[in-house]
Amino acid sequence: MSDDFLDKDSPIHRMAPSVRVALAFVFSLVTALATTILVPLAALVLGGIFVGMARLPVMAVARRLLPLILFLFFLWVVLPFTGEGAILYVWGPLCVKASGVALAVLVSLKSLAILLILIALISTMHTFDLGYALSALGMPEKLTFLIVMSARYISVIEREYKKLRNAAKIRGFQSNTSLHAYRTFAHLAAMLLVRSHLRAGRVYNAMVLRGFDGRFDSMVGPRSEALSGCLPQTMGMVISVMALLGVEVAVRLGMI
Amino acid sequence: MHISEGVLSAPVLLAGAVVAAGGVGYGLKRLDAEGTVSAALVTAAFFVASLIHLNLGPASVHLVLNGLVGLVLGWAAFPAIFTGLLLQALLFQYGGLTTLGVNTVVMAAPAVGVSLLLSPWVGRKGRVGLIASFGCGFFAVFFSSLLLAAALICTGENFKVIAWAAIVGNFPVMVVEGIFTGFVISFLLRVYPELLPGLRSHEIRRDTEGV
Repeated sequence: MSDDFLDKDSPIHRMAPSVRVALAFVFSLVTALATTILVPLAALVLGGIFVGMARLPVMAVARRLLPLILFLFFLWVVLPFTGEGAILYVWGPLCVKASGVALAVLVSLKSLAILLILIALISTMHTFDLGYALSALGMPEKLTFLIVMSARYISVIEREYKKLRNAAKIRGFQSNTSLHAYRTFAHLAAMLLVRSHLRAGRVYNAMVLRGFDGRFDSMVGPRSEALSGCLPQTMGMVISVMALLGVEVAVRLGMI
Repeated sequence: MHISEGVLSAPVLLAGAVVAAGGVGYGLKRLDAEGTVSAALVTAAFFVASLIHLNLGPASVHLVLNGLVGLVLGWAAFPAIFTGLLLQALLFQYGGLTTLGVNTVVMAAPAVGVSLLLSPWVGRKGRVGLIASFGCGFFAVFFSSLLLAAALICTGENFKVIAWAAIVGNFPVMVVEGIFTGFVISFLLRVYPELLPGLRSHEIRRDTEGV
């Protein structure tokens, strides 16, 4: 986990978290369901603009894109040779099909666009803001609790994991392809589970002591749900998502 | 083991979302306040454990662990895996928001299935227990890759090759996962059998006497 994207002052960071989550969801949905490359292309441009607006470091964004680019690479190795229809190019026993290439282009544009929008809108907020946003948008309380609680403890348990890993390293453990290495890692993971379960008991007792009855009561309201000072960019995003929706409807109706 | 954003078609996404919502709702209903706290921390532990990379010859594989999640959490595997995937989508941008439903079903349905089918056998002594523990890890990943392939093929015939590649390519992961899950279960049976609630306590006691 890195904090490169958090606690900056930018038009995006000032926006209300619940609005950002809702917009990100609608943007992803419209883009994911598009039938032609028109909407994904527009969404890709918008994603680029949003990332720029959020003033995120370019290298860090590129690092986040890397796993997707690897997946797309794999897709491009296979997909162009599949499908029916016109043959674009014959290469030995393989022939590049038009429909396969079109699909690969569509999928690549869609996934890159959605990822950029998610990076700009969602990974710029703290997990707790996200929890508030999700419950404001109607996520069941128990599920929000589960999400916020495990997000809170991931870093704690990761520390626990590093402790166990270091202990193994100090005793000369080296990872390789052997049953011994697998058994060591398995015991390590199992110990992690045991410790997290024991910690859950302690945490629960401490929470009950403080009046916990199954749900979080916030003493302060959500930090940044105010709409003031972020109206222009919010309106801009709402209008652009409506425009995307309109374009997609026009495409489906055969007007474009 | 997840499908990226922008690949699947609308009906597949919708079907995934509906099934996932049902599973998550049912899993949550079975959790009380204490159970929710413990599910949250165990989810965090699984999240961290799934970042472990095991060497496999010159390459390395990372663990899915959904069989183990099912065995430890039962039906709560649905909300737990949903949480894990949501956090992964938000923290590392693996997967995405619209594919959340499908990805949850792909990983959680086999987890619950494996735990319902195999948990009576896992606590047995000797070879039966070992094979069941291995099967937990192996079949959870196997069924997940089948579901993944089904989601791809339902989207379009073009993805057939990739769907097959997903099944075949995941085969080494299944074997490693089976071995790993077997070791974790044998450790938990000896050290902390409370984590495996699917087993009846007297079975556990009888089986740990010999160790």
